[in-house]
This record gives sequence, structure tokens and C-alpha cells, in this order.
Amino acid sequence: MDITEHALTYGFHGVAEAEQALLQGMIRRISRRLPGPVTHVSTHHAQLVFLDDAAPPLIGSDARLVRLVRNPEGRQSPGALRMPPHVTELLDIFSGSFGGGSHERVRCGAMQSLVRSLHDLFRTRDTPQALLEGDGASLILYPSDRQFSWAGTQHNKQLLSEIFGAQRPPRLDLRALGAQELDACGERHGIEPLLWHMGLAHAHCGLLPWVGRDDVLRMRAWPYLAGQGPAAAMRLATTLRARPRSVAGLADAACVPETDAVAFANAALLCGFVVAVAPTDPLALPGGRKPEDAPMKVSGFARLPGILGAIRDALGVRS
Amino acid sequence: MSARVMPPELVAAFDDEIRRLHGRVSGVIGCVLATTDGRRVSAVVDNEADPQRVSAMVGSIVALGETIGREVMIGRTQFVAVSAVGGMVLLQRVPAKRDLLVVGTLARHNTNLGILLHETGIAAEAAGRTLDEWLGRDQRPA
Amino acid sequence: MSEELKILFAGAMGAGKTTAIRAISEIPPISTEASNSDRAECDKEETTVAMDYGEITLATGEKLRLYGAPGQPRFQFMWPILAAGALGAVVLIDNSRADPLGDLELYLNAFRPLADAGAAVVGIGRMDSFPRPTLEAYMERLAKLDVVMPVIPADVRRRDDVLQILEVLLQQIEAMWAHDETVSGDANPGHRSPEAIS
Ligand SMILES: Nc1nc2c(ncn2[C@@H]2O[C@H](COP(=O)(O)OP(=O)(O)O)[C@@H](O)[C@H]2O)c(=O)[nH]1
Ligand SMILES: [Mg+2]
Repeated sequence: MDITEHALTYGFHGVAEAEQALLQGMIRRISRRLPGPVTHVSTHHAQLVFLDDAAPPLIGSDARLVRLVRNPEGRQSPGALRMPPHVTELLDIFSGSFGGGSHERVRCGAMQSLVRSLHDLFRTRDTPQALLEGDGASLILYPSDRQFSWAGTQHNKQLLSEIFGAQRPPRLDLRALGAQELDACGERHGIEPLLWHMGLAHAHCGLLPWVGRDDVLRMRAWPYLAGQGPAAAMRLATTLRARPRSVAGLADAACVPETDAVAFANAALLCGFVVAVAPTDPLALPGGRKPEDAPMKVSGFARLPGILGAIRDALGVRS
Repeated sequence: MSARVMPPELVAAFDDEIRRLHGRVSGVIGCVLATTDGRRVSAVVDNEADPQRVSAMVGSIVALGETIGREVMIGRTQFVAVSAVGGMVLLQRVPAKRDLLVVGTLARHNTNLGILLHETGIAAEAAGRTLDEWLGRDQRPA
Repeated sequence: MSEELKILFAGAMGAGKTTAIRAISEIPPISTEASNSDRAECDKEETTVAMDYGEITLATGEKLRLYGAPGQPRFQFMWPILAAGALGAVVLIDNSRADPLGDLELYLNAFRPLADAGAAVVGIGRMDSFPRPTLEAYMERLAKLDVVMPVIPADVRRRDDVLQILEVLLQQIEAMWAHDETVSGDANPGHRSPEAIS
């Protein structure tokens, strides 16, 4: 096989079959915009190797290694791929099934309406329980507790998946739940990881529909899910913490591609870590921190970037 | 040993020792006996100084004094002295089988340093004997 | 211009300040341990009573000094001494303690100027065995205190975790520097004394 024809090649090392399938689904989605085919090859020829535990012996290969971490409450560890399984499942259904064709507009329309409904529901918090329902499949949302769960079994998830797979905008019939319906619900999960990943997925369709490009993003709480992506999320978070910025300004200041900034902004906005305000709003102005408070002034203001670089070198961390 | 479980008789014996030191030297205006980790055991203070805070400081400063002693290789630290325009403070460990206590003495600036050192040392030794006796009687693992 | 470069580690007794410094210091850390007389508060043999001290030599020849503050509130008098002129602070929380959110509030108040200046990070230990309070709960408490600052789960026994905390701290400081530069537009080395409360 001539691997030069491929935009990206990847392989697995010590990864269980079920997880390989899951990863392949994710890779397919993520790589839709690449100019050529993305192909599964032997570990030795792969540019990207997903591995579990021990690294494969790769002689003469310059593959990038991606170690899987599956602890759902997973700690931050640089370079790790980590998604709580319940989020992965849901994401598979939502964004995976929108794909499979060139119906970009339909897909984005569906995505936008889904995201908007969820956002409204969780912002108002006034519906105690609600049901996201399509032909009997259901996802239970608890806006007042900021949680969600599946109703019933695997069967439900498949049904939901088929509905989305039919490439029509998902029907979001939200209604209050009866007491006995509630009994059938499974374990509850915090809604934030789900919203976070939906925000990331929405980046293919641009900024969230109710956010303007010139709107200024302002951080209200540290986005503690930043470890779950995008890659530059931590840098974006520290940059935005320093002062409010537009999404383009944020990408610029953090020196990352704008798509990453959009993904981060969507995710953080959906979770409420960040709010968007009109550029004319007084809240869009830099926060009330007095520059004299900055600690670095003590040790030579102008030299600070050099000092930080020297510290990073000494610690052996990349910038 | 925990200061929480230090029996009242033991604390009373320490109180006596601290009061004796305070009474013995005319210039002494405060004495504090504390655990090495800075918890108050016994104190007599004539001025407004807060014995709880002072106890924590005595613990820290004795530890720092000993640390610098080790760092510059001058052997075991015997005492730490603070000399100020309005007075002086002497700090030292209580010599005992286990390093559990420290003592601090606050005196007016015109007090004779030699006498203060001597008397603080005597009080520390007495407190050390009391502690050893208690440790021995209590059969606690050293 | 002061040549002192230091990072302060703060937090309750047993949160892992000494461990974190040991994980990254290039010299054996200098410590001021004393026999712990309060085993009810934390069951360990020894406790830091004045400070921990570690060092990392930079390529510029300067030393990055790592200070660990004694954790118990009675040692608050040491906190502003150690915080003076610090580049940043790492507040370590032990999630297995009785009231970790209360701990957060105590240390945050003490190092508030650094936190407000974007030069502080919170690391939470033992989250795997003590998942509560959750990260959300920490966020809520910080929101109440009107602070936006990073909260990162970390096991400071792992060097990588300590490095990650420091990397976020450095990124924050860098971001604030870039911000200040655009505000003040010059390299005016102002002054500041982190008046941590005592
Ligand atoms: N199980 C567990 N132990 C930890 C964790 N972080 C720190 N420790 C342990 O907790 C203790 C912390 O002690 P120390 O560093 O002296 O704490 P300090 O009082 O803050 O200086 C050490 O024994 C560490 O090994 C963690 O995340 N999980
Ligand atoms: Mg310590």
C-alpha cells in the first residue's frame, strides 16, 4: 500500500476492539475535512498510534503516540485522550449520525437547534425534569440539578441514534416527566461534560448561533473541563482569564487556530464558564484588576517572558 | 504525645516552672512553653502579646535557627536570640529524650543577657526533666 | 529590580506542599519539620513549622526558589513573609479533609492579591478516593468569593502533576503580563507587596 496517498494514517497498539471501533468513529468525524483518506494501517506505518499502557517499539518511525486514559473523572495529563464514556456515547449519537453525507447545512441546522434548546433549558433551570424525545427514545434532563441520564436501556440509545441518522433535525419535544417515568431512569451524570463536548462538536458549524463574532467573551468561572479539549484549551483559558476578548482576539492572543478558539468558546459558553456580551457593554471592558497587583512587576517586568521561558526549560515543560 | 492529651498534672508542673522563671529574673516580662510544632502549652505574658501566636512563632524560629545552624555547619544550635530596641527574646529547645518542647523568654532591654540565658536554660532543663519523667512513667514508645 | 524568583506552595497540613517541592527541587529540600503534636488534625509523624525550601537553577544562572508555607492557621504569620514578592502561589487542597472548601477559602483569603493578579492556582489532591466536594462545588465556592482561578485535580506524588500545575500558573502569569503590557504600554516595574492577611 502506498501510504503517501493518505492524508492521515493511524494504528492501534494494545487497544481493545470495542474501543478501536469507538475511536475509529471519532476519527472519521474529526477528519471529514481532511483533503484525503484517513486510513487504518499497521502500527509501524502509522503517523498516529493510539496505545494502551506500554508504548510499541517503533524503530525508525516518527509516529505521534496517543495514550488512552479511561478514568472517567480523569486527571489532566498532557497529551492524553480522555472522554467520559457516557459523553462519548452521546456524542457518537449526536454528531456521528449527522454525518455520512454532504448535508452540511442540514447537519448544522440540527446541531444548532439542539444546542439552542439545551442551552435555554439549562439557563432557565425552571423545568424540573424534561424529556428529549424522538419516537420513544429518551434522554432525561434535570436542568435544576444540571444533570442528565438515559431513560431505559441500550435500545433507547439505538433508537435515538437512528433518528439522528435519518438526517432530519432532531425532534426536541421537551415535556415534564411523570413520577413513574422517573423511576425508569438510569444513573445521573453532571451535564457539564456533555455540554462541553457538544460545544466542541458544534465548532464544525461555527460559533453558537446566539453568539456574534464581535461579541466579547468574558470568563466567569475557570473552565475546569479544559483538559478534555481542544488541545490548546488550557492556553485559551489562561488567556481569556486575563481579560475579555472576542473569539478572533482570543485566537490571536493565544496564538492558536481560530477553530480551536471557536470550539473552546462554544464549550465554555454552553457550560456557563464564559458569557458573551456585546462589545458596547461595560462588562466587555477588561476587569477591575489593578495592574500594580501583578506580581511579576517585582522581578523585572520587561524580562518576564524570558524568565518564564527559562523556568519552563528548567522544569522541562513545553510552552 | 499530643498536647491535647497532655494530662493536667503535667501542664500544671510546666505552669509552675514557667511562673518560677518569670518571677526569678526581674527583667523578664513573658515566658512561653510550646510544642516544637508551635502549640501553646504554658505561658505567662505581662504585655499584650498573644501567647498562641507567640507559641507558633517560637516553634518556627527555633526550627529556622537550627536549620541555619546546620546549613552553615556550626554544630548544634543552643539558642536563638532576638535583640530589639525595646527588649529581647531568647528561644531554645527543651532538652529531653524527645524533641517535643521549646521555650521562649521575653525580657526588657536592660536585662543582663548572661543571666537571662542561664535562667532560661535552667527552666528548660527543669521542664525537660519533668517531660522525661512523664514519658518514662507513661511507657510511651519513644 | 529584585532578582528574587519564587513560587510559594500553601495549603493545609498534609495537603502535599513538602511532597510537591521535593518532586521538583534539584537540591534535597531544606525543611523545618517538627514532631507533629496534633495527630487528630492530620495523622503524620512530622509537620513543617517554618518553611520548606527547594531550588531550581535556570539557564540564566538565576535560581527559582520554591517555598512551602506551614499549613496550620497558627502559622499565618509566616504566610505574608513567604509570599512577599512571589511570582505566584500554588494552593494545595486535600479533598479528604473535613472541610476542603473551608480550607480553600482560608488560603485564598490569605493569598488573595496573588489570586486576583492571576498568579495563583489551586491543586486538589486525593480526588480519586474522595470525589466530594466535586470540581463544580469548588467552582461555586470560588464564584461566591468572586474569584476566577484554575482548579486542577493533582496527585503531587507524581512529578508530572506538579509540573502541570506549574505550567498553568506560568501560562496565567504570562497572559496577565501580555494584558498589562497592553494596558500600561511600558515596562514600568511598579511595586507591590502581597499583603496576605495575618
Ligand atoms: N493518596 C494520596 N496521597 C497523597 C496525595 N497527595 C499527597 N499525598 C500524600 O500526602 C502526604 C502529604 O504530606 P506532606 O507533603 O508532608 O504535606 P504538607 O503538610 O502539605 O507538607 C504525603 O504522604 C503524600 O504522599 C494524593 O493525591 N493521594
Ligand atoms: Mg510540609
